[in-house]
Amino acid sequence: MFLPAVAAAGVTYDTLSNASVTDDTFSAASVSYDTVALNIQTVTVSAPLKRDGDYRRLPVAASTLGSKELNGDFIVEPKNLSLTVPNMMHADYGARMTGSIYMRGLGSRMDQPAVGLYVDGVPVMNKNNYDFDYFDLARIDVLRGPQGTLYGRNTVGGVVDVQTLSPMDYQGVRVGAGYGNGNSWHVQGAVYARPTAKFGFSVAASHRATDGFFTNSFDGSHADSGRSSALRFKLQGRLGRGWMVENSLYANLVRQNGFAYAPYDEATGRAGIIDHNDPTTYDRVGLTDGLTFRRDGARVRVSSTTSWQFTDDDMVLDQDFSPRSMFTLRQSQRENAFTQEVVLRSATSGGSQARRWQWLTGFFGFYRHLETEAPVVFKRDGIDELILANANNGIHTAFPDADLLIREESFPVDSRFRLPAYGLSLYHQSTWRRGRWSLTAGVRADWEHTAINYTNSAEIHYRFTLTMPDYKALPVEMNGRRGKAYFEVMPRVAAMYELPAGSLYASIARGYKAGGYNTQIFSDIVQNRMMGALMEDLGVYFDGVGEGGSAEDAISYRPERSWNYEVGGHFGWLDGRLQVDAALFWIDCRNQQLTVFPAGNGIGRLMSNAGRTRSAGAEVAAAWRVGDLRLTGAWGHTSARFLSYDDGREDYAGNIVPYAPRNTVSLQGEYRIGLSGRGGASGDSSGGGVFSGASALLLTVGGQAAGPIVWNEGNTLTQRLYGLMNASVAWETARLSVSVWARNMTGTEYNTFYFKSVGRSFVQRGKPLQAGVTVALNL
Amino acid sequence: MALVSLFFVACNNNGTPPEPKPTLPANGAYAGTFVISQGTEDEFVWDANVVLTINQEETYATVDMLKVKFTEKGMPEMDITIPGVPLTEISDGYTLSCDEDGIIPIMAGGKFPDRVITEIVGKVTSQTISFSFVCMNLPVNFTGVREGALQR
Repeated sequence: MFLPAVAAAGVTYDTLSNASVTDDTFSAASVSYDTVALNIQTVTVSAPLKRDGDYRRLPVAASTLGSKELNGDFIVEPKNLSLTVPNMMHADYGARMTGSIYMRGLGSRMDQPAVGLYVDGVPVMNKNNYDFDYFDLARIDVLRGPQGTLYGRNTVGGVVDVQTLSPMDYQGVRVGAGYGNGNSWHVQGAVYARPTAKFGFSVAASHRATDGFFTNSFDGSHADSGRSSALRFKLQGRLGRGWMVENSLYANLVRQNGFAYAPYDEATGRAGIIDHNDPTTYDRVGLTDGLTFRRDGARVRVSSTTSWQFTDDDMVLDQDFSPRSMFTLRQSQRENAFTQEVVLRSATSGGSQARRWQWLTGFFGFYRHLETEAPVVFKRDGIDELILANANNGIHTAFPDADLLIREESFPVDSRFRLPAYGLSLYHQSTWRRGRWSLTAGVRADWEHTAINYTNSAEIHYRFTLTMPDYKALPVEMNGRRGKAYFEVMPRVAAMYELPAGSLYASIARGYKAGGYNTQIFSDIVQNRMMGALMEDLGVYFDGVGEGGSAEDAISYRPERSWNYEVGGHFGWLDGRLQVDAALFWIDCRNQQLTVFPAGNGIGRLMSNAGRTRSAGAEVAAAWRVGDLRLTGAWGHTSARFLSYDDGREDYAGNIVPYAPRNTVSLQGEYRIGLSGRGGASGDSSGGGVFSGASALLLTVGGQAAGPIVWNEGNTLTQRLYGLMNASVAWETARLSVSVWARNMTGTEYNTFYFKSVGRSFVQRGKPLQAGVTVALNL
Repeated sequence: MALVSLFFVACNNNGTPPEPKPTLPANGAYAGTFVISQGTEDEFVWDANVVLTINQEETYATVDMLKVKFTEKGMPEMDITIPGVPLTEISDGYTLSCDEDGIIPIMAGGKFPDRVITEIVGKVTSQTISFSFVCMNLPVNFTGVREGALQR
């Protein structure tokens, strides 16, 4: 567990009690009691202008994690945010490619995300990059409900806003390492330096590796092993005339065996053995550079953030997830994205008028260029079962002694896509304060254009044994281009009333998730077209074969739009030792985007639109400090149902929307036991070694629960409510922390994901008991 | 005198100019209905298209029957070609026929001698087609109109 030792002067922190704590009292004895949310008003460049201090003073449901939680043993990656944040689920879908976050019943398994991610003011444009190692972090804010007015498209569920440590605020050297079961280990190191008053830099690196917890029984290999490395280099400086600049370069590398899916017996609810003969891997290289200029003037603050984001990833799948050689998929993506955002904001100082009216205006533009190659290779068993079986059944009705044969032992369906997208946005938000009341109104105009260029081809050699002595070539092509433009307006209105013990608020906001194009269904379409061409060539037509060869209905999906109605409050009692946040919400969603699978033995998947859904729910989060004991808890409930959804095969109106948990619960208690040690009353150990100074024992016990989670639109399969128990014991001084920890201590068995492939069901199992030891050092 | 002779030869017996030959496109697509008698069971009815291709000498026609079924079960939709159907010119079109040996159809890329088509009887004009035949002991009748033709 890291305990950042602050050396910079003039830095203030807001604790839960909102009292300022100077660095003189920033010691092991006091800081560990509180969620330390770095709230640097004047120094940090990358603290985004859109965030106005503590979210508990704003009409929005938000959770904030400070360096204490982020440097602990339980939140080391984005999936760990699940269950800690009420009504949030970032499930493990088997690989770090799938950053699917569900919030208040809204989410997405593929393509457009429902929750936005910002890192140091830069929007992460590719959802494949959502799952990254947490290190070098100062703070994470999770905003729930649509944030479209300030954050734009694809924030219909909320925003995760990550801020990394600033060398202007914190200087020192931090190293850490850990080892746990599954041969899981990690090392981290960071240097934060401020050579002059105007210039600072930091270099932080992390490496993790694990053999995983599941085995592929086909060859005894580790089914979920992997390693990841990351490097962040940050420069910050003051340029004069009040200007500040920051450049942050982030690089990450992922190599993993993933998608450790087990067959699922729907009748018994049991998962079988992971057993597949072809590799399933995911590799990723990512680069992000963000350049920010900022000036805090007397009347207006302005910032400009420019980013370039590069992603190159490669997914290989044994897509039948069985020991048979049916078909495999390889998806290689390469994307360059550019963003530019300019924000102007009224200064918080400047007299009573400035305090009565505050405003924010912004401009955002982006360009993305994604190239994807996604060949599906049909192998012998797949050719026989997925292509020839149906055809020969039909053949034998008229020609019992004849067969249709395909010469190839395997053949690829080549698919290449180019998906350029670009957009512009203008937004404004104003807040008026009068007495205890404040009224916030904002609007965003968002325009974007997206296109798809697709090139698909396949060729087989077929023979009808009754009439053809030789094999005949049958090539199939499917090429084209589509484009669409979208224009959307996203307003938000909120009213807040301050009480002696907190505040109450009500808000109405519009959410918007962009439409787009399906790429993962083309292999199905081309396969169907191939069979249609074969039947046309042969002059024999089989029922149910060659259908679905039209791209018109499957190629695109419409935007998702919602209205979010919310009331809530933020409260503090007992001199800030008890903090409670609560919210009630109602979401009316049109054309909610859902991932669906083709009927029968289809091999692809596509995004489709449900007619109308409704989510209603509640959230409560609380933190209570009693002496050396700190208790935190959060509960979220969401009832998300289809009001109308008919996919042509079944009417799902009234059914529960799949993949989003109905309840999320977390409870955690921390108890600190001060131990004897040298050093002053404040525990200052600056004159001694790592073992010197006051020491303490920190005991942490926590539990998390989620569910039930429905897995399909028909609501025939459900993951029941499950609970996980975590605990850690840490010995800490001002510079050193040694902890022993365990997650899922009771070894609860649960599933985090369900899907179907070629008519068979599969699940991703949750991780079993994990335990280990972590050492962290501040020099 | 030679020219006068030719004129008289060209005229019919009563001295009026001969009827112009019916104009029939080399490829004619007809949309219609197959009706198949299945013995004691109800008739099986199937809508399909037929394409007629006439050779340059106008002596034979190729009849392409597209996506046809003759029974509900035991037969997928198929393209069946009857090659070399003899044509006989009549006043408003042609008649279709075949000799007692019948014609071997082409389907699924090859010839099927065991499914020989016999007893072909039919008539085709510029607007309509109707013909019947026997295949595998099933009497088959087709009536169709030229695609794009006016309905009476």
